[in-house]
Amino acid sequence: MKEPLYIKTCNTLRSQIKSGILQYGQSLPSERELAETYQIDRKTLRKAISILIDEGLLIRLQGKGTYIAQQQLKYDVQVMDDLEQLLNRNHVNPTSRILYKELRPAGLRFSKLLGIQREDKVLRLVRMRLGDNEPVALQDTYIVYDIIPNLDSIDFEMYSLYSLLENNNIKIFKIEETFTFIQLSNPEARLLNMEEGAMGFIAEDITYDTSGRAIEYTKGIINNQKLSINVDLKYTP
Amino acid sequence: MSKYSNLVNSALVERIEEYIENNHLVSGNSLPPEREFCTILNVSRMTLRDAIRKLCEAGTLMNIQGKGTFLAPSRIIRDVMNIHTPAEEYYKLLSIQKVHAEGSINRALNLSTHNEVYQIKRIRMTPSERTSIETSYIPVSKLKTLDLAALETVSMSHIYGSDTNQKLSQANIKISVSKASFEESEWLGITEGDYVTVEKHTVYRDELPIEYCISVSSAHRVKYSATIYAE
Repeated sequence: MKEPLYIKTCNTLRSQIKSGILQYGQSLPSERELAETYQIDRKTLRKAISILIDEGLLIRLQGKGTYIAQQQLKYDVQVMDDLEQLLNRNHVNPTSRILYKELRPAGLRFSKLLGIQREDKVLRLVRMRLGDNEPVALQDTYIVYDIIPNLDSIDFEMYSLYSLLENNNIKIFKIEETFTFIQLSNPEARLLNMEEGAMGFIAEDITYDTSGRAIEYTKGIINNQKLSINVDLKYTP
Repeated sequence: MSKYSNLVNSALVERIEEYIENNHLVSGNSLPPEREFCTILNVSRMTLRDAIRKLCEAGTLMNIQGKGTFLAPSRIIRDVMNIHTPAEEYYKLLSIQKVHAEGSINRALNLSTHNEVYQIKRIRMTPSERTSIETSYIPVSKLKTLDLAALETVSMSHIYGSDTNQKLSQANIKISVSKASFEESEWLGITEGDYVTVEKHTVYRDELPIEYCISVSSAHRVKYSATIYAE
């Protein structure tokens, strides 16, 4: 089967971005120019561009036009680290803003996920995670309250959960993580600096310590233009 | 409540989840009609709609135009740490041909130009639905014989594994999102332009790439999973 024209156009533009002919910071040539260069109609061109926006390679700025996006960072699934460490590894300055904090009973859903009683307390944190001051993720975290003394008095804009666990001699045994892709709606899209209806992905994880108990559950809504899912597997002979 | 109340308010969502649990509702069951459900939960229509929208986005519920709100079927789970096909999925061979590799396929397989590769198209499915359309590229030189029967049942890694008796050394998977082309939409039973996930697998043997595979699935049907252990 022959490739449709818009896919061909997509592939051409994608390889120009990947090879650096079109670079971060540049604006995409005008529709008229591109339509002429590739000898295609504007409708086909727009289809190709909208796919590249979904992939996070292009970014549309309201009232300004379409630009080449900054290269996405790899969200390395096989590496056990948190968002802060991931950003640090990539020389991006991580910051965190707490939008909401609440000490609450686990309730049905979180008691199941965390393997505790419904009336057991959890600390809920809603955090905006930024990299070089740009929104990367919106995280909704539920931490089992009694794992660390006075959990609710800790400043989570200053300290990461990982560093607190380490300090309290709690060793992580495993993290179970899932990923789904969704279309973002408001207010989430707006907070992530994305258009309503743009694609993002949801990373949900549960962290367990070496005694087998669950420590926390996090649902992160991730800006697809900032991070892309990558898995590197090595097989031992 | 803070200015983020719309973002963080999950009380009604959790009550609906409890309603589902207490009434033992499963995939395919419907929620009560809107008016009735508002009375049960003692909330306004607007408030209920907002909570239902959130649950639809989370994949718990789905709206069917003119019919109501239903419990959504659970997603197909793909374990990215183990790329071998789980037992409940199998394959149907669509086409196999020798082509000259170009562009991204060449780059992924580390080939110079004019190399011949097998292009193998397959549908990946469960007994109830087609889950993915997969296109694999394998350099002809790396695969002496092709076991057609095996293509119907197992993932590619099994095939060259048994062909050469050599073990795989590494694999890389990149997952992104795109829109279904007409051909993909036909195979997956979705609408052209619907969102799809695109998995790009590169499989290595002795540090050299031996297969590049592009797997396309409906974005609201798949969920990727991974368990990572501390060293």
